[in-house]
Amino acid sequence: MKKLRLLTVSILVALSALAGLYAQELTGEEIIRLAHEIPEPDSSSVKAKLLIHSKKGTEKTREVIMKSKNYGDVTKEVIVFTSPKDVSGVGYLMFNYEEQEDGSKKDSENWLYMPALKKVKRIASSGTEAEGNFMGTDFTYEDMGDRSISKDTYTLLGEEYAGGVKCWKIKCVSIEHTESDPERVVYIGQDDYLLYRCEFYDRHGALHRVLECSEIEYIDSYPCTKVMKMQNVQSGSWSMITMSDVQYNTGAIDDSVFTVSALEQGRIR
Amino acid sequence: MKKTALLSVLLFAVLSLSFAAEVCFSGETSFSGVLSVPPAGDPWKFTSATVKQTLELDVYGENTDLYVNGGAEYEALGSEVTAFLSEAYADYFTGRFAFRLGRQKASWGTSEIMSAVNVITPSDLSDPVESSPLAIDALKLSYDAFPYSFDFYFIPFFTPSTLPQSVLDMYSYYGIEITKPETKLENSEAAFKGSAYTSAGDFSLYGYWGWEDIPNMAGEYERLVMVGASAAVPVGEVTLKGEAGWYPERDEVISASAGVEWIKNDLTLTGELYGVWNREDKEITGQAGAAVNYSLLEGDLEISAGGILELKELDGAVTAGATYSFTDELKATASAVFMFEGVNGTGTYGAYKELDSLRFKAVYSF
Repeated sequence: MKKLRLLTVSILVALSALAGLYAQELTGEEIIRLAHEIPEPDSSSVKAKLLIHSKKGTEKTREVIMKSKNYGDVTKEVIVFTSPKDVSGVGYLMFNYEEQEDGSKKDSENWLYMPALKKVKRIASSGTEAEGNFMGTDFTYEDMGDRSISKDTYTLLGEEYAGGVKCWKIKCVSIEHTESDPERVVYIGQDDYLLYRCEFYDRHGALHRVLECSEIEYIDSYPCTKVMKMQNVQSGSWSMITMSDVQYNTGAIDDSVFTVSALEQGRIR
Repeated sequence: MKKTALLSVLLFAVLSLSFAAEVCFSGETSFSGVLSVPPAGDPWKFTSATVKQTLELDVYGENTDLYVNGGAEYEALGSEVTAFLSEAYADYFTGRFAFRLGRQKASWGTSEIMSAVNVITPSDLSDPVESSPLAIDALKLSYDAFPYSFDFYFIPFFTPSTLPQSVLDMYSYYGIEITKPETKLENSEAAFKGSAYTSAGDFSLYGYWGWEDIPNMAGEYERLVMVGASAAVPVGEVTLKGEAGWYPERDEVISASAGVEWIKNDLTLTGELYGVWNREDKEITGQAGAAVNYSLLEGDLEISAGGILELKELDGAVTAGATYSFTDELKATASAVFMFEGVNGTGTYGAYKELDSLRFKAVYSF
């Protein structure tokens, strides 16, 4: 699933071994670039439970169905809430376009279906929208997406363990520096090139959020990070996304799922 | 004839059930009250206090779906219980085609505040402040060839809007009987919607041949024909929206609206202009509308405000409200609605000053 790419970075075993031989010579950008080049499933279907823990200690749970399919130049994704009742049936349809060689990227196309109004709404795409909360969690849409390599500069800080795994520790700094978290420190596993931890720093350089990835499984030879926990260390809130019923390349996802009509008709189950 | 149609829906439903794999049951219990704002010196009083129980059943299989939404409402002030069936339909999907048979709701257009083309469903106007769409008894055939989609409706049974009690009392006072069109094939309604969802924006065409859903002064429902179009075009951070409808049977022959919507994180701002061209008076009457919605306290509190201004008389209505979610299941809303009379005191909205009110609602969903 494209949206999970950042959180499920991996590399082919052979490539991994090769990279390991030359790890001493790799730069931070080369490690990130290799992680971005991992093969991905063409389609995926996932059920996810979103646990939102507020700073007051209250908890909310959201359950969604997420489906995605890669069409080459565009990845189509659909997310439909199944629980709780007051948001059940609300759906998002998104077409995210690949970045061109010159670094340009066509605006995404987004639709929102609200069952109470029986209406699909066209949503504008914008750079700032990417920093909006993903479904009310501590994740942003950009966290769940595929950040362009050309947007950051990279510095290899060294080696460190994260989640019990030996990782490369790489500092990624936004070139434009306009994001609310323009600096990240990512921990990439040295053996599997997966992301195990990410620290997000705000514009003042203060630690803002911490992402921890766990329960990584291989499904149909593709890695899947089943549990992702994002803690907002400044507010005290945290969110956890738990994946289940993960299916890659099953061939069962019909193109008609990724249409406005399918959203309106409630066909996405 | 209606019995035959109902049997057809049931047969279709049974067929749906036979292929069903999943059953979902849910519901909602709500308590609501309306406290009317009295003229100076008069006491405040509740004009409505209701308990509403809604139940929802969704049974679906790979290519079929049966959906029923209904319940009962108890009006405490009048000690009156009303049962309702909001929706009851069966779906069948095959390839690019989809069929929906039964009582169903639909919405046309892109407008958020004042629509120029949304004539497909009538409205429940019994509480004009909180009017809501009513379902139609129809067969809908959809053909999806994304980015294009087409919907065809055949509506054999006419459903009028539910009128406010004060309007019904007026008809009764003058001895006017409201008569619906007779149920026969030539009185059926038909509708069409064709849409294109492109990178540049969403564009739709509409056609409607049926009946006005509000009776004229003689208590009769007149023919309604509408041809319309709508567009929603994202430009940077905003979405521009527009609608236009041509109504050859009406004096107000053209209705149109244009608006803009801006969404950033938890904030949504909407602004719209709406105009109607009256060929008899040869003049345009216009209204402006705006709405703001903001979510805070990590989504637990949602505040909203909106208003409509009639541009000639400068009369209108304003609303403001807040909804707090105690849990995922329990939420409460408090809101206020006020009408203002405009510069000459003759505006349409000013005539509904008795609708000034404070409103309270608590909803438990499961």
